[in-house]
Amino acid sequence: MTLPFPRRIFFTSLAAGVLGVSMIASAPAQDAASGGVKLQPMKWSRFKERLADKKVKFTLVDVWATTCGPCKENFPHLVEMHRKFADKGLGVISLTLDDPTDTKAVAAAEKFLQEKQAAFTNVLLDENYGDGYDRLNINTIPAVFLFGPDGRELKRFTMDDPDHQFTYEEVEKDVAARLAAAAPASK
Amino acid sequence: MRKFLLSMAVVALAIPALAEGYNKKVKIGDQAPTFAGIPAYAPNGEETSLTLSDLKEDVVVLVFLGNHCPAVQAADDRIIDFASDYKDKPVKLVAVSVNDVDQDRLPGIKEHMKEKKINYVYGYDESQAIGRAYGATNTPHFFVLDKERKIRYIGSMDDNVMNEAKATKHYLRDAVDALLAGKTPPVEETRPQGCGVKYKNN
Repeated sequence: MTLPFPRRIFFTSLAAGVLGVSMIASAPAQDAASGGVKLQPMKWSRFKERLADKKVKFTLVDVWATTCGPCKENFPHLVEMHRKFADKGLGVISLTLDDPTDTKAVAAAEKFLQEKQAAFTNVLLDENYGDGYDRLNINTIPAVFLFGPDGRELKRFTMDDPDHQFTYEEVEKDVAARLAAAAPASK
Repeated sequence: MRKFLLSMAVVALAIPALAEGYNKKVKIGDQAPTFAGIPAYAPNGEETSLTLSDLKEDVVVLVFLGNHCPAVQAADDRIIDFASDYKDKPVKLVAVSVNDVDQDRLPGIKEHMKEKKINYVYGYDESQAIGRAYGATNTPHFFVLDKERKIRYIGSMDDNVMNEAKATKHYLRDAVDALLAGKTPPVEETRPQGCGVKYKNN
């Protein structure tokens, strides 16, 4: 068979293609940096865009801060849910409302995420300190949100109703049920 | 004509319900939930109790606090200043904690009151019933009641709980001043700031 162009060009572009495909194939659905956990500052508008992710069935967002003891106690549940459900189509994002201008707090957040092995997308809301509560319409953290692949909010779990403050048990039950019921994610 | 009426009906159905306030249990204008016999300390260190019907002042300010909370610590002086500034007016500020945290219980409250020279009655509700009734989700969380004991302001003291120097809007004072003048608070509700309140046995 005759190649349509010179052999060296063919093989170079084939190699490039293979390399490209293998790079895409090795990058997971979440932005886990290889060999490390990172914290990305993001403006609210960019964060909203990021919530839409057609590569997953649902995205779970855990809102926390280094100043929030109960949030840090909850965090291992988020890591656990990532381990259990990532390959079943659950995207996981942590969102810290720590003050982005407070270098100590940001460093503490990064340290915490590394200690907890948060191998998923970790966002630092890069807005005025406190704005996050209004943006998310919550009074307090911890809070957990579930979004569809189009970035639309499906459910929220908050502490804002004294008679019904959420537990991670509830979150896991809900997520497991939704994943079981959902159609396969579009590739 | 029919088309017009139909389109109006569609518009009416499409208008969303008024946005909820920030509080899941009470709203502005509601009769304030009563409370009685909450164990407390007076500024002079004496044991006393908090009972809504015992309070005779025209305006009552109920604030949910917690010693352990950094936001409360940051707001402490402001609350003391408020109580002091309004002591000759028919306004009474009372505080309560419902936190299931050692530092926030009565012995800690007594200690704290002595240390900071707290100038208001401060109690502790072990059952957390007052917190649930008022939908208190944060510390500090303020509720202002008028003479009829209707809730007229809910939320934060100002727009920056952590940093007094950065606070530009003084919601609590504005609300109380308005009520004292027989007017409606200019801002009736704001989002509370500060630490979350955890309720037992949810």
